[in-house]
Amino acid sequence: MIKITLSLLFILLLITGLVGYKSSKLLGSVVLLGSAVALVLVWNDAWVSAVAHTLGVGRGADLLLYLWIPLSATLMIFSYLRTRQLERQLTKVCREIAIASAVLP
Amino acid sequence: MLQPNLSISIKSADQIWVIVPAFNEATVIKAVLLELLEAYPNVVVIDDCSRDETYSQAKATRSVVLRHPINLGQGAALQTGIDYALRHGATAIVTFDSDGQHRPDDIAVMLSIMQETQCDLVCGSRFLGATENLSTVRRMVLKAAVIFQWITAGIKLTDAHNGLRLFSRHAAQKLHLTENRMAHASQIIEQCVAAKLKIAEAPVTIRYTAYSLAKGQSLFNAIAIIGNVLLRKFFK
Repeated sequence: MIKITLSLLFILLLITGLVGYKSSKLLGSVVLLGSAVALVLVWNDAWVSAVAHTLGVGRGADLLLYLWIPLSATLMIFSYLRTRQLERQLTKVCREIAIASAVLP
Repeated sequence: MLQPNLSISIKSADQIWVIVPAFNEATVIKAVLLELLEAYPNVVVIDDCSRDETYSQAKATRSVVLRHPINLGQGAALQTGIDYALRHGATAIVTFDSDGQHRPDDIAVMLSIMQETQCDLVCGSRFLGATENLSTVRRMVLKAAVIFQWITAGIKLTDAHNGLRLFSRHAAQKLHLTENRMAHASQIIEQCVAAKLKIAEAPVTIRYTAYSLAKGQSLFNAIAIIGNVLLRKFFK
């Protein structure tokens, strides 16, 4: 049951990656690759443990956690930068509206 | 090397534009504007989408009134006012708080310092001048802000967060504020230092009333400002 739920989640992320690829090739690629790898590993969890042991990590779950932290930090940074860009664009528009609508004495 | 002010010469008050960003200041805005208009004919109020009668109170004076369609923050309002003043030929631009803390008389002191020193920016300093009803905690926070600004902008002013400033046209043209909220004060100094502008300070009086203290910055805001400054340093 959990594998099916996780699979659906990662398929949704794949679709998100495809949609987002046009606006940001880098971020879209990261999401696509990460989701595809995650989808495969959900159904082949022994592979995760094998990779973890090779890398000197005790458990597959620990390896996933170590990978998830920088990935989520990257996503948060992208999100912050995008929000900041949108805020600056919105500010410029509001500024021009305010100046164009000036009430003179 | 500092690039000195390119011969600023003020011959009449109508060369000076006073920018007053305002948000929910219906109680005091009209009195503040009328006091300014006695000496300075070009006053621009930027209503940052107030929820009270600030806009209508401002329109009842001889000020130019601009209004943001959504609330953006004091930094955004200042830049809007500065852009408007520059487009209308301002020789010098004053930023002035709308809560009644500042005195219009101090603008003349700043102007004379600008003309004597030929600097580009004069920053008001309550610690060179006087304060009325400044609490110990607020004084300590302001002193800490001075140290923080020294570290982040590389300049030591005696008052890092005073809204009363006088810009030459040349200095105002160098400003491109992207900090919409309260971190704009740090950004103004950083941009002026980066542009190698000459900065001076002037003694001013800050009047703390129960009204202005209630609207003033909380300690949480100070922490948020620090966070914004650090983020801006990291993600230029």
